[in-house]
Amino acid sequence: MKKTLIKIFVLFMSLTLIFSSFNFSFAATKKTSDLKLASDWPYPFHGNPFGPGAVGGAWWFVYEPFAYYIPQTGQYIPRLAEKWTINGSKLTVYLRKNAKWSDGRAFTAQDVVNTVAFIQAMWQWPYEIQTVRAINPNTVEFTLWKDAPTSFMHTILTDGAMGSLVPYHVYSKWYGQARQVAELGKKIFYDTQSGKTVSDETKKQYEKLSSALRDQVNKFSPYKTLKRMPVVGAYEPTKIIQSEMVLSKNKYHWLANKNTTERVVFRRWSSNEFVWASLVSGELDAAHPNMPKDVVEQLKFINPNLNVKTVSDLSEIALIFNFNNKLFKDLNLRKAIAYVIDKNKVKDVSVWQANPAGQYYTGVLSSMQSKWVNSATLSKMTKYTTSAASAENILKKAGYTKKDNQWYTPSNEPVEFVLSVYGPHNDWVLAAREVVQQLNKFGFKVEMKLIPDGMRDQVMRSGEYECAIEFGSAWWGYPHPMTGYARLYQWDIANITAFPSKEKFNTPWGEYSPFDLVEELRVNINNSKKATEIIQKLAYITNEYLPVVPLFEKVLPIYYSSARLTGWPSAQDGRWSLAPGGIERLYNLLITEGVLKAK
Amino acid sequence: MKFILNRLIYLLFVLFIAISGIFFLINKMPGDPAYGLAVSISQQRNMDINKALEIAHQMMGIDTGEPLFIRYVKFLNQFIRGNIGYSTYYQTTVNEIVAKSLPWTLLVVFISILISFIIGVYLGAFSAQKRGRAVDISISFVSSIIQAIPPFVLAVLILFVGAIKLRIIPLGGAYPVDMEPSLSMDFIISVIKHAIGPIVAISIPQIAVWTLAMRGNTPQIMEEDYIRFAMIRGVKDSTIARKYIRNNAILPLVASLAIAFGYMLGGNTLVESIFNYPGIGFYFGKAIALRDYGLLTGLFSLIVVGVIIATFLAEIIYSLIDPRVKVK
Repeated sequence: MKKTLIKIFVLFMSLTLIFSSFNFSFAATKKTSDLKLASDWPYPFHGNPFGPGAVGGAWWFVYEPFAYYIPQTGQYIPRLAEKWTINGSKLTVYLRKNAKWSDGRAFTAQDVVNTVAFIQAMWQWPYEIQTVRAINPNTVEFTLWKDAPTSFMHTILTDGAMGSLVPYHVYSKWYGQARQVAELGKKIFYDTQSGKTVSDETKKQYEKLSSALRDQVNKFSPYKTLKRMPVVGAYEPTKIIQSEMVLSKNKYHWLANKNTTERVVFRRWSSNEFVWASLVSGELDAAHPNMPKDVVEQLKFINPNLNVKTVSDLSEIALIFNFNNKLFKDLNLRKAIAYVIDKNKVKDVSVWQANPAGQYYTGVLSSMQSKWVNSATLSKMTKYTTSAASAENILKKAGYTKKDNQWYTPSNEPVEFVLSVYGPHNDWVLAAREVVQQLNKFGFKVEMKLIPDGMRDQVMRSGEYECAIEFGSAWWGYPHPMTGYARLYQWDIANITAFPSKEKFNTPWGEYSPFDLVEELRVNINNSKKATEIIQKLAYITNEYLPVVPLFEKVLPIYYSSARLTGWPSAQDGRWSLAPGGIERLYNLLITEGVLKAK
Repeated sequence: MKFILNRLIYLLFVLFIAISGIFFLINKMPGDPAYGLAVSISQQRNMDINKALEIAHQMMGIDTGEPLFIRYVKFLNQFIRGNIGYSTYYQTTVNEIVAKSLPWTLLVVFISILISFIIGVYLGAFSAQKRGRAVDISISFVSSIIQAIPPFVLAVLILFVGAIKLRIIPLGGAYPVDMEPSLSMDFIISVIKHAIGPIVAISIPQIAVWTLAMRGNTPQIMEEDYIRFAMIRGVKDSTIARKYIRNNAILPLVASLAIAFGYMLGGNTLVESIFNYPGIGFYFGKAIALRDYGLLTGLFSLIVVGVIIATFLAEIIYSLIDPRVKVK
């Protein structure tokens, strides 16, 4: 009895000791001028931008582009650049004179030249920049390679890597090597592109030089060696553990006086459940997890300070076809499928917050369609309102027959196929299941097949599928219809679907090959009138010949809390559209300009 | 001594086979480890995926042309020297990753196993002692249900109830970022309370497992002559339960305990992810998602080594506490 009492006493004291410290510890982690977010980063942390994972979610806080681009308004917001001019293939950037690294050193044109040399050497990109030179400490001139698309000017201006990735005073000892590798890499690239043969000796020399540089640079950890990571951005990583990362304000940043947020604290995005819990409890100020409708309702019920804003993620989820499969070469069948599928239902089942696909499949994202495709063009196009009757008419006219609720091709083969979908993408699986149900109900025999984790690339690239759920048009990188069309007719989708994009298709304006039209669009990207004309033709071909059937436009749901912070933009504010492809850019813009701050 | 030596030789053989199996299994996995990075490069830079893949291979130092057997020999060579691999994603040795994360996992696993084993054994013995009565039926019924609940489901429940609703445990991590690791009481208490969530999530199903196992072992012991003799002698029920029944019924569980310890080193990936706990489970998840073969091979090898060493220790301990094993 005595022993039991002692045990109970010890247990009671231990629990008291543990629980009595809770309030103390919670208080220790609270900082009123912190912005709390969730993200991921490599750990052990190295601070080397060339290592995979680089600086993780801190990217847009530590590196600054020359400008931010707001897709919704088409507006550029100068950041490292005060202004720029474009003259033919030359882009001259006038750097901000008061930009400094977080260790107090001035940021100059030499840092930009150094950065470009390093990224060309380490990443074999961007060879579109043929030369970059410092005109004076605050002016840098980029000259594009003759075959580089004019749209690459946009990449130079807005890519976070282009200007401030590699401080010259930190990486200068490798600058000579980097430049040599970059020059040789460019020479090989230009020669290859122009059809010249590159000698094996040159290739070997390149491999030797490049691996020697990579070996040295990859091993370098500014965070370990210098005990800090000098950055030109508004925040420098100062404390990193596996579960949290702290970025502290760069007091030399040109907007430091406006910025009242002292720290950005990241919690590891280890699971959606953890992020949901953190949002509900107010431990995060913003995050963008995908959540079922009921979870969102519960979150808002428990934490009324939570708001949600959905912005287009600049991509659409689509049903894609393998054009090596005889069945899908038939446009009538593709059109019938387009009519049968109830896209809104698919969207509601899969990603309830997504933007609907609309009734025209122009290849232009549905949320941007009114800006790029004019009503005269739309009036010439087929409108894909969900209609089983329209689908039946098309199929019957084409010689398809229906017996015992099963459709047969004109050659009397059952219309049966497998819809592949990448298993780990839950929303895609839900969409696939709904599509399969709808198509089966109509009279096709469709089965769903899950692509296992890590196999998506192999399955899609090897063409081991009949039709699949995939990203359709996507405007990643350069938010413009050209990017989406390049994906559909020249790059990823064209490669995996084998759509005959070099063939000519009938349009009201004549016969055109979408491949050639994309090339033409690339050349005329800055000629607004000409570009619009080409987009009309591409939109028509995409809608009438259906390389893909869009299901819905992906959105980025941003949950943000107004409990500790004030200044979140209104729902209509164009700045939200900065989020896709780098949501931290949006937060960085808002806090550095003093718009978003602690209450 | 000869017994130990024989076991050691046997275990080294098992280790070699297991490690080789892991290496070939993981390295023959389909899929390109650079694909994830390539997609991200392709999206960010508006680049063709094939070109992005080339760049990703170079960035990750993946030599697709190196024969598998050569890689195997290199791996074994390094493994013998104590280097269990190199992470292509994190660009560091697996040893460094393990050194930073394993202690957290060990802390949680060790405490969970200890708590669950002690409580489970007590409950199981108690239940067996009350065989057929309402309390026994209740314990067995509840244990059967609880043991079927996956730890990650409990983890979500504990996170939402404990950290949000009741606010009695901290929300994730192993300690607050503003705290410097030290041997101070504040830090130790903070570490303990951050570990409570994962420990409870892992322990509860384990308690049920040990309870049922112990209850299953006990009736057999209760039929032994020495138990009846003790009862006839008038030895108190509690003494019989503690000294005669429990100590004998616990023997078969010792081996299971050691094996469970080895498995739990890598078996709580989801629990750690849900609590954002910085253990080795996080890296398991990453290694699988990123197709980081080096990291995956290293971590699996670690588990195999853990299971093998634990089994070895269990056999030694078993032989020490049960003289019958020595005789055999």
